[in-house]
Amino acid sequence: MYPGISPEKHQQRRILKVEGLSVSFPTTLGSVMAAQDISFDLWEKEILALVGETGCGKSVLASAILRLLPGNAVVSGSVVFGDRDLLCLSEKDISRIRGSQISMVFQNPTLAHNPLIRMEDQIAEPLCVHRGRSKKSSRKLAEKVAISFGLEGGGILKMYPFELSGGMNQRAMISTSVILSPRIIIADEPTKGLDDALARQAIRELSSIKEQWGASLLLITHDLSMASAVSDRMAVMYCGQIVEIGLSSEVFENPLHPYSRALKGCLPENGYNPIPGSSPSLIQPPSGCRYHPRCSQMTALCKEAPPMMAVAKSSSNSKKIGMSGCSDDRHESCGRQVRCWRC
Amino acid sequence: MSPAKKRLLRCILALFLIVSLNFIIPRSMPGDPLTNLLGEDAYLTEGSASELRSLMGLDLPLHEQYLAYWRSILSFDLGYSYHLHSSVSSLILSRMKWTLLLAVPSLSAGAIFGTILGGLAGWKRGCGMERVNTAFFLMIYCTPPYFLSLLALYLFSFRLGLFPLKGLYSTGSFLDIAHHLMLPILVMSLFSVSRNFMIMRGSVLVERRSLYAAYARAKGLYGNEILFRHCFKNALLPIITIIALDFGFIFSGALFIEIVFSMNGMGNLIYDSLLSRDYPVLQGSFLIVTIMVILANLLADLQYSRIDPRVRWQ
Amino acid sequence: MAGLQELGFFNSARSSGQQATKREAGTVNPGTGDAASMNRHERGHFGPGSFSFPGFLGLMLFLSFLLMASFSFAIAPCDPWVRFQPFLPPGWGHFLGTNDLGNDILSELIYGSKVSLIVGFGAALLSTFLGTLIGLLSGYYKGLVDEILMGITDIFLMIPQIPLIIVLAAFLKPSFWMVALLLGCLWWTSTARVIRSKTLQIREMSFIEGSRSMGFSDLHIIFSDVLPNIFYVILPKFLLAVASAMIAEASISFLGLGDASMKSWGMMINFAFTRGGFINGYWWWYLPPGLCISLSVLSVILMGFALEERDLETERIE
Ligand SMILES: Nc1ncnc2c1ncn2[C@@H]1O[C@H](COP(=O)(O)OP(=O)(O)OP(=O)(O)O)[C@@H](O)[C@H]1O
Ligand code: SF4
Ligand SMILES: [Mg+2]
Repeated sequence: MYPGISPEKHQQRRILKVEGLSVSFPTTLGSVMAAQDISFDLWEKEILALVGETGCGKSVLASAILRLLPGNAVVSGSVVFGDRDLLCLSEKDISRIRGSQISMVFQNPTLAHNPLIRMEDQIAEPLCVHRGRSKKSSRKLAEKVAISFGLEGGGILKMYPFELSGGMNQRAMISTSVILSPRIIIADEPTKGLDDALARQAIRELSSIKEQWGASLLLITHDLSMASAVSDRMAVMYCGQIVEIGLSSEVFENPLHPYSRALKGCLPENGYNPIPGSSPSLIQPPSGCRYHPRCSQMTALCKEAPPMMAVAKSSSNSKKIGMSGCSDDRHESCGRQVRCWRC
Repeated sequence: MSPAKKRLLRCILALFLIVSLNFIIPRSMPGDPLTNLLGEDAYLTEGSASELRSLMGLDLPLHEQYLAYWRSILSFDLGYSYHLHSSVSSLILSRMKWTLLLAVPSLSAGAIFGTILGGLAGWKRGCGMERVNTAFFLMIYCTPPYFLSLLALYLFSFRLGLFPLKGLYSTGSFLDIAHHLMLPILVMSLFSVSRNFMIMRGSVLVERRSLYAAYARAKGLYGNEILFRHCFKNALLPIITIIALDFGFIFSGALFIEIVFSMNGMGNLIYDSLLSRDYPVLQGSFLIVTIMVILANLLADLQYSRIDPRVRWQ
Repeated sequence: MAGLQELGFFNSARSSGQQATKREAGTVNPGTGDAASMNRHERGHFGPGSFSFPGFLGLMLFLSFLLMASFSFAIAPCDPWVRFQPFLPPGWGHFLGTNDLGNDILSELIYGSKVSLIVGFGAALLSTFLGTLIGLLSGYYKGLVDEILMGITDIFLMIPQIPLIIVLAAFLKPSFWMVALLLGCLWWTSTARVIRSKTLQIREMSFIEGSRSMGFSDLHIIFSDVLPNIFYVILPKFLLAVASAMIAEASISFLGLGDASMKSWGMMINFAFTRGGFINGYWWWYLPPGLCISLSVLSVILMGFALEERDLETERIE
């Protein structure tokens, strides 16, 4: 049995299965392929971190799960939640799931709040909408939750978003997202714009969500070390594709995909080695492996044929782990998968 | 300087400019300033003309005339109409109530229905009903109000005989006045709805793409709920200012509607004074209309700060 | 009539503060080369392509009015000043009948398109020129220049234009050139506000920074870097201004203040109204010019609408 997985984890059930999810936006310049063939599972009470550089399509992926993309987006694939494919539900049905079963923390909390409504009413809103509670009674609960995230005193809840700092707005948003005890919380860069101490606190709060509120967390970030510190599993995204997925500790300690490795090399403690080249265009992504123009291990094959997600073969121990202890279904998701010809 | 003070200052400057313009126009336009000030209906002998000239201070240096002009404005003395044999301020005062009787209900109806229908249209852009609505109001929008009035008058009064042809009242009872006012108010409302509709539609189109609307959706709000709980108020904000600025135009619309329906309000006062070149009445009316527009703007600013906490905070 | 222009169906002039914060939502990632981070130039705004059906309809309508105005002498069945038998109903000799003086109404109608278009475009050209200039300067230089120019704009915005024009016209008995001039001088305000807020956005973009660091003069940057990138705002704004001016012209001539030496639609309605055409039910006298006003205004607005709509669609939605 792999040390990273506690025994009870094996009893966990899968609550979200994303399969072959692709998103593109037709524009005048061509199609923006913001996400392509994304597949992963989310298990009960786990934190899955999604890591990748800016513009690689993380937010698009998150929005696609909840069908929050603008009307011009072309989405294919499936997102199975419980026994229903979210992509096939009617707008009315999915709106019942949004905010109550799956909630989302937006990347830009200051702008995501309505500037004209008091904070408390915005935090309480899911209660009014999903439970049909009155404004007044829901405010009380909202206050309780908000206090647990450190929003108290000074009449903060009576203030308007513009009067609060980014961090406060962030906490308000987190409070809003947990107020109905959802099964899944999607947090898009919850530490963006916070200073170091605040960021660490936010992370602590987020990981407490898992225990306290019994929810799974899809944590989107571009901070690799933060992701490895809080998450159970980690997926690395590059140019609209997941290139590596596996247990966080493992991916962080021993990244297999050249891009993951390069990302790790970027960390200050590893000497801050920037990745050569620039992020590719999502309109005309490189042929073959999308990372090949920047990859140091590139071969002729990489240029021509796109690699598939596959259980890593070169990894020293992941194969063994993958086989041991996991049921068939679990096998794929706790085993390491990499999208690279050479791993 | 705070934005509120700045706005106030600008309103005052606008007022100042208008009064000055009113002073300059008759004195700088071609023709005899005396005629320009009295109107072309004032028949004067040579003697009485020069007497009047000195009485009105036209032989004084300009800056003294200017000060005197301000004094008279501030004491609500807008001159005397030789055509109608009455002082301009009392004329305007007596006519204004009829215009307000037409304008206030129509403007309110226009603001309420225009923003709601326009908001819905912006929200549901592209669906069938919305297209019909937008096309309809766009047509109204493109039609000058006087032509709209002519059409309505022709259809409902001439053809169908539902409403009286002209005037404000025949017996003077409340019902009678309401009957007379019905059609003009309808036309005027339609006109003002069409303008607010188009403005609000555009504003909601912008708001519905904002992040907070997306977040509201992520919270589980559905369809129109998002519009009425979130976007509507935000979309209204820029609208308040625009509606206030539009007020001058809509108000001029009321003048044209009055002319067609031969109502005895400001519109016909201006029209008659135009036909008889009764300049004092014309200028006085212009001044009053401007003051009303500026007041509407101030009111809009107040309203704005009531809705938008960010302004209050500053 | 501030409103019609102020409106700008989508690009309504709003306070700059709001604009600035809104922008942040759509922060673009330099380097990813996605559509949103492109310089507007490159986005092909004016390429042929998705010009919606209403826009196409507007264009066709407009072209027919343009044709009518430019070749009125050839199209009109007779000289609009020649007198025939008065009050003829529509019939074979005169398709739309005659008025009280016996002028052929169809010919009057065709000649009337001239004034409408000339005043519309003349006033709009002037007001757009002024508005763009003031907006550019105020948005680019910010600070004191901005304060002063926007103060002036705000003040102008509050003056009710139609009443002012009525007063001026009453004294001046203007020609239609004068009407266009007056309208143009009063209507630059909303254009200025919109251009200013767009300029404020553009001037912060990296390619402007680039030009600045390369030592180009401010004027050079304003006219060769900023201006082309806000062109897509100017055009719909211009068309709206045309529409406003056309309605205003029709209103002024309805009051009998127009240029009496030219036939105009507003004046035709005025005559029908004051000389008994309306009371006697001679619909052919006032209905056609009214429809012409509405349709010509509609055609221009539809075009502006289509342009703005297209812009809306290509813009990224966050
Ligand atoms: N509506 C849209 N139309 C066109 N392109 C879009 C749209 N939304 C997103 N994109 C593009 O998709 C790509 C992915 O964007 P996304 O916001 O998901 O990046 P991200 O990984 O979240 O980056 P960041 O770390 O900055 O948040 C970007 O290149 C973006 O420009
Ligand atoms: S497939 Fe080739 S180019 Fe792509 S990451 Fe692997 S080694 Fe590099
Ligand atoms: Mg993002």
